[in-house]
Amino acid sequence: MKNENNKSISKKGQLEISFNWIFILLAGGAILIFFIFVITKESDQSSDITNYQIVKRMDSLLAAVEQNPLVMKDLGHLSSKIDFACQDGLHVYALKEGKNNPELKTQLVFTPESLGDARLWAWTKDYGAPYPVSSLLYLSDSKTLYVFQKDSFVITELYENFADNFTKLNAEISFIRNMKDTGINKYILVVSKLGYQALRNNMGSSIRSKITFVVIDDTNPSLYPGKVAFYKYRTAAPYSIDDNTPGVDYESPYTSEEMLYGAIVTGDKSLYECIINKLMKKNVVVDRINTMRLKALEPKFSSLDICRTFMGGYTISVIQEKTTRAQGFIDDTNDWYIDFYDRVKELERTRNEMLRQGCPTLY
Amino acid sequence: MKKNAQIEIAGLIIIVVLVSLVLLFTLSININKVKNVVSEQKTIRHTQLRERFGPVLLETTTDCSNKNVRELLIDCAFINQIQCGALDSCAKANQVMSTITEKTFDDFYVFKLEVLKNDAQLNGINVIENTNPPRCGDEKYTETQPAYTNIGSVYGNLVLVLTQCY
Amino acid sequence: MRKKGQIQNMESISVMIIIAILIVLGIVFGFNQRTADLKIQRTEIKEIDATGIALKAGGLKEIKCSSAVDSGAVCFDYYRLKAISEISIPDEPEYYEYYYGLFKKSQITVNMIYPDADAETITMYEYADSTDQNVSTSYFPVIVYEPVTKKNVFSIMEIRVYS
Repeated sequence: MKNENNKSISKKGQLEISFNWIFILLAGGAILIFFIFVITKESDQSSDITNYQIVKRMDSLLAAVEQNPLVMKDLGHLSSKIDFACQDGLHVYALKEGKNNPELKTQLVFTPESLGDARLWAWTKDYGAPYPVSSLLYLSDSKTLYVFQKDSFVITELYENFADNFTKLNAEISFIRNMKDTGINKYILVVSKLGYQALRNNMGSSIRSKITFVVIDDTNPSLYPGKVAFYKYRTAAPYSIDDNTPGVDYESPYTSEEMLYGAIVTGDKSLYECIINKLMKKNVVVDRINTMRLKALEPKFSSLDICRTFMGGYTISVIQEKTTRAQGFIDDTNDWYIDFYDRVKELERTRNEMLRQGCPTLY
Repeated sequence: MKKNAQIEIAGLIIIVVLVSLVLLFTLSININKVKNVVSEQKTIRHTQLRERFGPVLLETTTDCSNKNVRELLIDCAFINQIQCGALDSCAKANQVMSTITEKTFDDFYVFKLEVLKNDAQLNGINVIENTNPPRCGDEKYTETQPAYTNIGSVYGNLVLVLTQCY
Repeated sequence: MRKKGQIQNMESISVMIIIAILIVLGIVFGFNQRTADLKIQRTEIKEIDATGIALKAGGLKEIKCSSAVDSGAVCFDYYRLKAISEISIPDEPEYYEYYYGLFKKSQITVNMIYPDADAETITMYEYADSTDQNVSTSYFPVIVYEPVTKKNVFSIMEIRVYS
């Protein structure tokens, strides 16, 4: 009897212990799963917030820097990498681990195709046509090198007026030809047509994948207006230069120094044209504002007042022609960029005359 | 058996107490965080108003022969020639600055506007302030805007000082 | 013996349950705090938004006045300001879309304050569906320049950002 009682007691003890362990395992497992769920959700939210913060801060930063033209600004070290591109006609930038590519809808920012893991610099210039249209922002980093051909007077002058804190070099063709890769991410070589011919087949193979040629015609009496050509090496063997594919237009137009610097800083035709298209859209908006201003000012002057003639039909028609040319600026089939430039010059002359006559000026 | 049960309950109580302490600690940190963020918001909102008020005020054209506030203050400080109907340049400048500050700053905006000639309040110009209720403690921000003379010779130092506190 | 065993069991189980409940409560509380934190961060970002919009509006080259201002104050041309208020409306979709891209859900008004004779309020831009309750407002003094009379009007640009 005693033995039987002892046996049943020991069995109860064993059951109790195993029941406790099952309970611990279940409860512990449930808590662990809950923890994991919370942490995952938290890190998702955090990275969303981080990307959102970067986008918003970039927005405010661009707005703040645009306020101060002709100023070089040190933006500090950017540890992450940002890629800029033109996707389906939209100017976008991609953050590492970012889900969507935010669009730079209105910001006029010229950058190389990739920035980051380097010290970042900002340079601003005011663009007018001829009245003020927008501040243009140029962003570059310490790992993008701009090399300007020394034996071209025109290109050397561009070098001298180029942002001082951007990584730049003024060098002879012979030096450029022998350049080796020194840990730079991108080499943008600003050369004349002759300079390009001397270099295109002679650049070292280690450096070819990082090069873009920005070719300027320095033989014209005037640099403006003009066309700039972008050439890169093919990314597959035999890594030859890509400059004669049938049906491909390598050239893009420019009508001012600010645009030309934009072409140099981007070092890419598609990216450059994306930004120029946005700039031309802004031109159209500003043209409309100035046309409305002239129409509002005209009745303030008597018909005998010379100022009234400046506010009238002729000036407004020049602005309207300029608007039409802006809308077809990048078009390959015509040279509207030249007409655009001519209209800008005409408006400059009108403004000077208004100033001379003591009238409210166009700008 | 009784002792075992007592020990177990004591253990339970310790756990409850520890968890409560941790919760209280977290709560106190969060309350501090909210305070900091709220003052950060105020800073951003008020900075533009404070920084840009002086430059805009000085350039404002008055109805006194189209003179601007800067010209009236310079005349009040150094020349005393401008007459605006029955008022002299000092009185006119007072009137204009008073009207503008009244329309710009609401009752809750704690500020003081002074015009200093060689570091002392300019004679004839009133200090304009709203410090009711007085809330200026350590958080005081001052913006100084020089009023340049556009006459060749040096008359002295004339500045506009706007102090804001919150 | 049987009864003691059962009581022992019940004590252990209830201790486990209570601990589990406390831990879960603690986690839920912490999670709610974190959500509140993120809400505060979003509000902070909105404030940065308001300042960003104010800087953009103040920096618009297309409405700047033609003459330079000695003190460096931001100066708008009256007729350019009127023109922008007339085109940045939904009835002019091309222009509204452009300014929406800049100013998003906000309202920008320029109150011309002094001289009294020139007092006027111009709505430079207004988001079409401004039914949102949460508003962050900032003020930005500017000069509005009348090019015919050559007057500088003291004005306050009011920027309201909706959330």
